[in-house]
Amino acid sequence: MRALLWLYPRAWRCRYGAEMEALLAQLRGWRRLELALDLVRGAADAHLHPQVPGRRRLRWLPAGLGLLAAALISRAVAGAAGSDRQAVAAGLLAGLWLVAAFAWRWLGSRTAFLFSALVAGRFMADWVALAAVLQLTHLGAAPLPYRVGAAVLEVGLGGVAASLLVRRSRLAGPLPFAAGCALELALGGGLSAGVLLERWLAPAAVEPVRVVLWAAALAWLGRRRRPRPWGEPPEGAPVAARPSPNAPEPLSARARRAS
Amino acid sequence: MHLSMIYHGRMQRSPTEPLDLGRFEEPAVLILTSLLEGPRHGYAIVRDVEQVAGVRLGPGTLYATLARLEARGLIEGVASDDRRRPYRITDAGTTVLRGRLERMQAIARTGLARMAR
Repeated sequence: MRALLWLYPRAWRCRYGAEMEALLAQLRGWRRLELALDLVRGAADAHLHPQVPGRRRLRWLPAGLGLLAAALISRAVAGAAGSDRQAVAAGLLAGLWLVAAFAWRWLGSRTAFLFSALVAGRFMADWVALAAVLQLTHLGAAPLPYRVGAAVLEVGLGGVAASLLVRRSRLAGPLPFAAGCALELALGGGLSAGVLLERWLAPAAVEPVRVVLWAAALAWLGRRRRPRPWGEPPEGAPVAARPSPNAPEPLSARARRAS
Repeated sequence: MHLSMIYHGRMQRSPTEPLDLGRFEEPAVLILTSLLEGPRHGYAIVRDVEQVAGVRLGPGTLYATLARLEARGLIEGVASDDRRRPYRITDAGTTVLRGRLERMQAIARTGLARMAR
């Protein structure tokens, strides 16, 4: 079990490693799997939310690699399904990213959870749109009102997915819906940035990249949770008592004396 | 205010500011409550929390919470020759815990009063 401590960052091991080893040696009556899962989750948290100052991390490298991996995985699944089974691919991708979202939630990364959930929500919206209405317009048989209605539905579903998932962030009220719709319009076809994507990328890659960019932008906008008061003392609360003079000396005081 | 600004010492957190501890809120309250009895090391905290609240804190959860509390200045490590370092609650920790417990007490009182109606 002690081997799992190597999953923690070096700075963390220097600070807490010996204590955790001592604790592991003392714990009795725990199931090994339960203990292992708790340590794996703790190690993921130590990497995602480092509390101990350590080596400066390349913050944007994992995010960039993650976006690239998300686009490549989505493209591979969409490509394997073929152009005539896009609704199946969208449903499959929605399920896949939903599983990823739950995994990130368990590991404790809000931004990665939000991103995965948004990708899942956007593919689910695609699945609904493709299965319900857009099949008609893709066949080219639908009259203009149906096409306009389908476009409005697609943009609206993007907004609904965004407002459902980003509502607990600092974006309040109708802002998530507006941001979801605006990004959908900006990355869609017509005169928007979607034209550039269609020009630069292979046809099978356009939709996955569009979805990943849409989700990444919204996850970035909604990455901060709305602040919630925690432990705020009520007005007029008495001031805490000073520690007794016999209390053990804190580590910080000993370090100051040594230097 | 971003957390990195706190643990790099660029800003001093006021005890009345909100703390977003996410899933570590409940373990934080249990650990701070345990430390009210005096300085304790990890195993003593785990045993006390299990006896008082019936909650088993795993080592990963325990040290993730201790690190957060220490970074926020709510607890501090005590010098020890043993590998098992004891921690003790600070003044700021006591103030924050009191506020949290009073809020929980108010919620419990309201809930029980409504159930009695």
